[in-house]
Amino acid sequence: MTITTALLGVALGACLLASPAAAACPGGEMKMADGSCFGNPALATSMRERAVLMNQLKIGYNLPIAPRKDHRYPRNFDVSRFEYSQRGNFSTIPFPPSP
Amino acid sequence: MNLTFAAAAACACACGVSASFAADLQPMPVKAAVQSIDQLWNISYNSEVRYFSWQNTRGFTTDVAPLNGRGGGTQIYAPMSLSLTGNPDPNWKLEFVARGGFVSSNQSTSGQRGYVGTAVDTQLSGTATYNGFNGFQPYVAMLINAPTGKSALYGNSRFARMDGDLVDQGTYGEGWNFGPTVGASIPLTKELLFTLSGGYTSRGAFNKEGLDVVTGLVTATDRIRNGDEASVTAALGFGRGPFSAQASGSYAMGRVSQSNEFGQFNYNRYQVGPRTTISGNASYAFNEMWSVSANGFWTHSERNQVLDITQLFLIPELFNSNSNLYRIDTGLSYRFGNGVTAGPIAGYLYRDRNGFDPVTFGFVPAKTRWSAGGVVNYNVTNKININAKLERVWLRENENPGPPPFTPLVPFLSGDAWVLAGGATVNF
Repeated sequence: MTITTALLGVALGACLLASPAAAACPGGEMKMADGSCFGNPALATSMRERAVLMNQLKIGYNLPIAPRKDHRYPRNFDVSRFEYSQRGNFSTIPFPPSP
Repeated sequence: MNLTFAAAAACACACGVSASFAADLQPMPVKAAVQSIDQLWNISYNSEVRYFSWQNTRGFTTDVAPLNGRGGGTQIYAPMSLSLTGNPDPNWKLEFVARGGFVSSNQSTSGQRGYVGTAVDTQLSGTATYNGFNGFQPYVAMLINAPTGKSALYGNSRFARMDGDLVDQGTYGEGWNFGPTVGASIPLTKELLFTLSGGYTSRGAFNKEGLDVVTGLVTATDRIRNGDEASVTAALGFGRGPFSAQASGSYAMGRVSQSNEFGQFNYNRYQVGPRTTISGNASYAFNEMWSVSANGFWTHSERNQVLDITQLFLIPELFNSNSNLYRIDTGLSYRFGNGVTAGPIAGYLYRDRNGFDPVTFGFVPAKTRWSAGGVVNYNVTNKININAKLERVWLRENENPGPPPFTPLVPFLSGDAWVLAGGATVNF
């Protein structure tokens, strides 16, 4: 929880303490260093989603994304198959076998 | 088939239908208010129903007696998501996603007959992005896994867990997980974007079925706590005209996983080795009709920490039992004049390791998975899209060497599966 609190604190502090710059871009998208608008809002949105999910591949055995995007990112089962053979969310108890 | 899944399918359909009807039946004053909100918020609902039918030469898991006879199973999985995106302030962008679903799984292999029908865990995601700075865009996100699924499968229902390379849902529940992430996007040019981010996944404890040592039945309850994970990710994205590509590299470090054993509540079981993941995707539109896309990833993990011979201390395993994993999925699509888009898809997955770990008595076979099929999309209106997919999967897993003298405990295994899926996306 300490790490969690620290991460959130750094992010919120950076956002709240800094002063706003020039006028906002249409649709609330990002601005270049010279204040002009970034030319590809869809790419920015997709990159942000990728960055968040690639840091949270073990948040669950599904990711919080629309089902149509399911094959776009690795899954929990993909990233650590070792856990599959251990006691835990993935493991099975093979013995005793069912009758 | 069962009440749980029937209710799930009805809910999935009813949600989509009622939502679209509601939009049409709003009285005028309310409609005006909704339109005003629409300028700030976009809502999207996506749901699919997927059917999997597989068979192989062994069943799953592969080392359960009797060690002969073919295995097979089916799964019906209905995931659904609701996304909300808005700009309540010109400098702020907020994105929320809620995802859940229902699954019905059945394995009917000799010696491994099991069934489960349940809701899956629910995932929640919230991301806040600040756009007020010139030259960089910070964001903070919180992801949550809510344990609405079924993590403990007592008795024979535990055999309803199946190979995640053949079906979508290989397991059905874990605990409360919380995953904060912070990061920033930095536009290098108007076409090239760099992001740097870090996250931490706190994985909560949950119940799991266990073996009752007195009765010999799987009726006991274990308490499992999987190791937390911290990670950093760097990514590059590029988009110019008909071409778009993204690539990312992540490094993750896990903490110790624990369970209740030997009278201890927090008994250290193992620690997964640090993991490197490279992933990306690319797409190109040749013209208004033809386009091609691909996405893939590679993961590599360092050696795990496992229990030593005294079962008291964690030590590095003698050799790395983690597979390197390679996966790529590709698709070619053609857009017809009537709004239908269709084309072939193909995929390849390879797990490279094949060996016996004498410390954990774990078996790590190499594995290859091929898939081929086709997809169809149709824009019913500019706010409703429906899609369907039919896919054939072929799988081959190398033999599992047994303990010394290393006779094959499980011979090589081959399997195949059909995947049929249909779904819809409704934007409000």
